[in-house]
Amino acid sequence: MSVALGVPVWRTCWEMPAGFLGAMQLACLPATGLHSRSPGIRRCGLAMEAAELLAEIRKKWVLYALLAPTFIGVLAFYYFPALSALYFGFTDWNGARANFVGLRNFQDMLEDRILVHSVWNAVRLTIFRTIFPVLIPLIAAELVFWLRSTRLQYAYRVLFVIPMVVPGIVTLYLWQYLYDPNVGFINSFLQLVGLGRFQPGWLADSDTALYSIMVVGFPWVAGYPFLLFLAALQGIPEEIFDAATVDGVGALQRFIRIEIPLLTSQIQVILILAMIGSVQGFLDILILTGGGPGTATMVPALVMLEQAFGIAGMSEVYKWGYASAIGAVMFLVIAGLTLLQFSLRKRDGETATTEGAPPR
Amino acid sequence: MSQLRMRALQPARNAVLAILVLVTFYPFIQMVIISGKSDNQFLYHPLAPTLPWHWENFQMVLAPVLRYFLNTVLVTGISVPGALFLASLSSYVFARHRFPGKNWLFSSLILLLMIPGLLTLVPQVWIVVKMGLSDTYWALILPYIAAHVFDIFVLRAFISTLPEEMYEAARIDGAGHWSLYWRLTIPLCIPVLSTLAILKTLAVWNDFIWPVLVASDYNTRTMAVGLRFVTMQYMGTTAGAVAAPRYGVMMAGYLLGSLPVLVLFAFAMRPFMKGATSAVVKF
Repeated sequence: MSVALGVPVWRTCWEMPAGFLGAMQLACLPATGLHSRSPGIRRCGLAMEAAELLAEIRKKWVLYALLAPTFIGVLAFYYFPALSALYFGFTDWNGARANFVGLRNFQDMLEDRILVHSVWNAVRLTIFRTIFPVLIPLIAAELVFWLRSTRLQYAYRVLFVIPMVVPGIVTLYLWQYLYDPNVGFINSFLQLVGLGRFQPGWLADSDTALYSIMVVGFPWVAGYPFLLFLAALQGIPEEIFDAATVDGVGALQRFIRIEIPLLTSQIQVILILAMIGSVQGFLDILILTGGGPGTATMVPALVMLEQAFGIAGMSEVYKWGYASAIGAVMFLVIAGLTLLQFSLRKRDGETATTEGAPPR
Repeated sequence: MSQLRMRALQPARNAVLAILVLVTFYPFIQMVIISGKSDNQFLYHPLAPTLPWHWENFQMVLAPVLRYFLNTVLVTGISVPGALFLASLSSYVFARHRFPGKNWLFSSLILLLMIPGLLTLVPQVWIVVKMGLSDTYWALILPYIAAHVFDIFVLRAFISTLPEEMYEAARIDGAGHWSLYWRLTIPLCIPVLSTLAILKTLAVWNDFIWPVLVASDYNTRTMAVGLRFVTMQYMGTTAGAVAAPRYGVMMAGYLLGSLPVLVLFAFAMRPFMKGATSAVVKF
């Protein structure tokens, strides 16, 4: 569930904090202390080893007992649901009965016009929400990093953290207010400056709804990407900048040729997390438009939610088998994206070290 | 000469940053401004601050928001320590001991990171409903306590850096597991635990999707879910516009709803700032 970090909206990319990424990275770390056995013991027979193993387990029973609560929770709330979801995707589960129906759910998915349309929406949303919410914090981090006063730097960091603290739902409702076609801030402001003839319906108009959703979160600076980029910039050794100054490198050159290459791994992480977050995230759309008007802002995640619970649990639809199938497919998509990113990272990681860039 | 150019660009840079801050904060400023408006004031002056200030808006939402606040405090107050307690326990075991199956068990935790929240959502709701826990506090507390895998990773990494000699000495003095854990390891983990506590408190406090699915009854509503109900109550109907949305009251609700976390932030600013950055740098 999403409470590992649990921040909604455009910050949903931070759900499951490391996602696949973390899994891959952690898996590449050296093994967590596999104990070696002395050659003498290794030479003994298999039966001896098994008995010895059991004895050790019995001796150290306390450790397993201490681990039990964690693993009971993990089994109950993560493994069991995940495996169930994968299984139920092949059934017509509705909460009461579950008959095996093979690939019928997946066939239905291909013919589900709402779902297909939602995929197109999701693609457009993801493109936009991967570029700008990553690019702008990067630029902002750069600007803050080069402030001469450290106190001012800290002040900006605090200022850009405060909006992260406010409940995401409040921020979303504020955006809903901004977009209100009658009395909302944007349209009122347009009237104020004499552009009153432009009164778009924003979230209520199927032509503008999707684009309105894209812009939610503007200017995207307050958030984890900004903090990460800033921290990464601060981690660049002083000598590199000294050398650059000596060579007479201008600010823009320095940004493009030095800082961005050194931040490549962070940028990639943020990009993939933004992508995954955009694919999985639905809270903003749920609150702002509920997928409407019509299906203008539907995304696969919302289709899944609606098939299972009706919008936000308000009505009972109970097509849980179908919803699980959608979830399974999305799982594969996210897995694919992460593997793609991971392989890119590995490739770049090799180049980076050969060029002698400072280790991250 | 690049130094000169840098200095010349400083005012431009400062201006851009100031604008970014302003744009980021403006919706919240407007929230405060509107929260004091009566419906009439809002109708004629939707943007500018107006006097007199209408405290009734706050009075109208105070009772439910207070209830939501208490609900959220209860859930958070039990979940966060519970989760961190279990996480530290498991981290202690993984970090300082060897035992059969250790690698398998730990890897099974790493594997969890691969599971997107969306996949498990439907079955998780089903499990909670089947256990008869829907619309109870436990529907929230138990899953939140179970969600401490990330904390295990962070704590384990930290605890494994503690010197073994310290543990040796304590064992020689006859310390058992509990003492080693509670009196030796935990005190040293306090900085890491505070950071995790702050992050987890925020995550639980602001969570919306899970509570709205399993515990949206008035008695158990958390703040985030509660604010949705406040909105629905004062929005007026959108179809046919029977009543105009009463933004004054809604904004008052949002403001009250945000206050607790803002206060927490004000008090815990230093550890929070440190924690927010370090948590992110873990990548």
